[in-house]
Amino acid sequence: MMGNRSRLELGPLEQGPLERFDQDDWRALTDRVRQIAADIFAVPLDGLTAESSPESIASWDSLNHLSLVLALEQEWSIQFSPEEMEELLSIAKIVSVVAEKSLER
Amino acid sequence: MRELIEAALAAGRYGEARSAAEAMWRAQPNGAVANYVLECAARWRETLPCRPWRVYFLRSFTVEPMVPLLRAGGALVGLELTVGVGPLGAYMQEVLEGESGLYRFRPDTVIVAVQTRDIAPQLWEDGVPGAGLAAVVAEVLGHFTALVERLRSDSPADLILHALEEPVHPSWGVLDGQRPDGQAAAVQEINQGLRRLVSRWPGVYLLGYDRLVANYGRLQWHDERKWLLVRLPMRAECQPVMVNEWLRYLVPLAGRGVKVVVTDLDNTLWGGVLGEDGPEGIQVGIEHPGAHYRALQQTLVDFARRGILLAVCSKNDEPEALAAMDSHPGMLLRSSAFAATRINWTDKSQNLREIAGELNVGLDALAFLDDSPVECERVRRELPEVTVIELPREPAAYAATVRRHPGFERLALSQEDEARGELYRVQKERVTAQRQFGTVEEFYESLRQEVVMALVDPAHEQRVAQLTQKTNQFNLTGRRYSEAEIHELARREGARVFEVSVRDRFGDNGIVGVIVFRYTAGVGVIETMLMSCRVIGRTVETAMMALLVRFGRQLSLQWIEGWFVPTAKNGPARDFYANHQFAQVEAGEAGTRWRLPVESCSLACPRWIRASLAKDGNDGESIAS
Repeated sequence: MMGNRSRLELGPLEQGPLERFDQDDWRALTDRVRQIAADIFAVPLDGLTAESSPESIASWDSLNHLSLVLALEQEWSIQFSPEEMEELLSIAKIVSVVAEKSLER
Repeated sequence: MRELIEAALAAGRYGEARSAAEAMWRAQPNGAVANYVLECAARWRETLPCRPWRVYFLRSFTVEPMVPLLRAGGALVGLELTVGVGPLGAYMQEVLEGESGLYRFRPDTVIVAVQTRDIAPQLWEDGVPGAGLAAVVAEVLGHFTALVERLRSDSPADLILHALEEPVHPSWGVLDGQRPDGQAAAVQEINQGLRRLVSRWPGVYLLGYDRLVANYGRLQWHDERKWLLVRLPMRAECQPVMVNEWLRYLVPLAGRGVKVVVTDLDNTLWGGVLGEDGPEGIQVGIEHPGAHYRALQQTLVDFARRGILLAVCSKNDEPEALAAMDSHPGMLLRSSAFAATRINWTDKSQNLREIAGELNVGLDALAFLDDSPVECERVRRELPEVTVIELPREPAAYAATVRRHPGFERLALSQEDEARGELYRVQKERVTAQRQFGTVEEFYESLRQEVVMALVDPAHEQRVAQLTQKTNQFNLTGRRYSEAEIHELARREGARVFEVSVRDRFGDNGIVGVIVFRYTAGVGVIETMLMSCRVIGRTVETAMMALLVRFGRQLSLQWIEGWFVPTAKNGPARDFYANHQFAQVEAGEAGTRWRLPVESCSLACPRWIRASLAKDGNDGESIAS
């Protein structure tokens, strides 16, 4: 989901990890996160924007939030800390945390 | 993938839609895909048979995120699950109160998912001193007994009990294994007690939770952060593993088990294509790559023991295929093992219909195994009721792929089921083998080893070369040979390459030893002698040397000589010559040279080994000539 370049080719070291993401990487990642969230919350894909959050999505309750976190962890083979789990409260925030963590791996 | 599924659903090709959904699920078994699968299942349920089944969880940990996964996994194997979950940690109250959610739910199956750390925290973290431990074991077993008794009297539901898990880090560390108050031992004792408990009650089954965790990897299973935060003990990626294990119980309980496995032949029961490679060219046996096909055969043997019928459906010429099945030395399954065979060039869907008719079962009781995606796809389209198991590209993964499917599980066997297999005989032998042996000789005797030393078969030259490449421990000289060198040596005047194979009561170990021997007038030299670590410590080497002496006598040799060349790893072979009546005649930089008088030595094969020097049933004379 991060383009097909190898890690070694991804830009100079002084850049922050997220700056190594290009437009396509972001789009692919965002699409994937939105699809997962749409399935978990049982809402149409186009009903989700970057700003979607528990305030705007009625089915974004604590149980579905846990299911969302687990699905993200499985998809990117990552694990969130309790603090991160509590931060993942909008699509945009999820995308940026997932990007960061999947690069750390 | 979604487009493909949508198109198939829209066109009413439900079998195809389900198999695509299954592939998607296999690739990403997470909550999001689970919800999507359930959405699709709601559309195919009218056409594809789905058995409604109600499951209620009594639990001490969070199972809610696994519920959609369980329902999706169920939908893909023909179950329409309705799932209820009791309050966290209140399993005992729920059972004891007559009007609880448990009884109102009217479950078909109750799963009691309780963890060691909840029901017996002393066995998970803080160990208790010896005297208190027996009390903990008794208390836990008392709890479970009360729970089972009450549930059995108040509810017709079947019961699945999670057995307890051993602690990841016992309080005593490695000392846990020796101490009378070891936590792991206490957990095992509880699990033994649970075994006895479930055997006393019909409809109560034990789920080996500890084995499930261990198979996955104990350290990879747990997620302490989620445990502390939301009482979810396992990592996200373990949830599908847990769910599949539940399905292995629910599928047979709901009567959705497979009754007949219909298997292909080429590249399924054996490697290669019979029509192209011929009966000698197909691969099945105990070496790579034939062993992978044999492992699939073993899987089917196991299924047959559970009372599942076997059938063949293959595109081949029938007489040749039957001959290969009955005469190939590597086959575990002969044609007589199959209740129905359709070996012809007809469409497989037609053959499957006929097999179902002949065996008098519905199409939904059939599972179809094939390596060809094309054949699988056709069956899915034409017979969506049939369970299609498309074998993976890698034969090494065949057996595990098939074994994983919950449709082959059985929770009870009728006498008729059991009579079908040889289960009892094998089982009895294994138990006896685990018995303590008084002396090491008794152990050797019990192995009933047969050692055959023969001139290397041309088909085995690769295996023999490979053994010289990778055998380090019992290897007198550490010399390596290529396949070409073995090939050449096997044909050279004054040289012999022997392959040594060992059978024992548990089966064939295959080729596990090699001797490269050269001789001129009067003297034979062991250029290489090695033995795989599979059979070290079973006196096979003595049998090999006794056979070599027999061969030396046939050639009227005066001496057998050999070098021991020490390497970093061949310590186990260091004393071999000294222990076998050889005398040291030279010590040089490379190693030591040893010599044995052929005529006068008294070297004999151990009495617990049947040894023979042969090639394809000929006697030893032909080797020496």
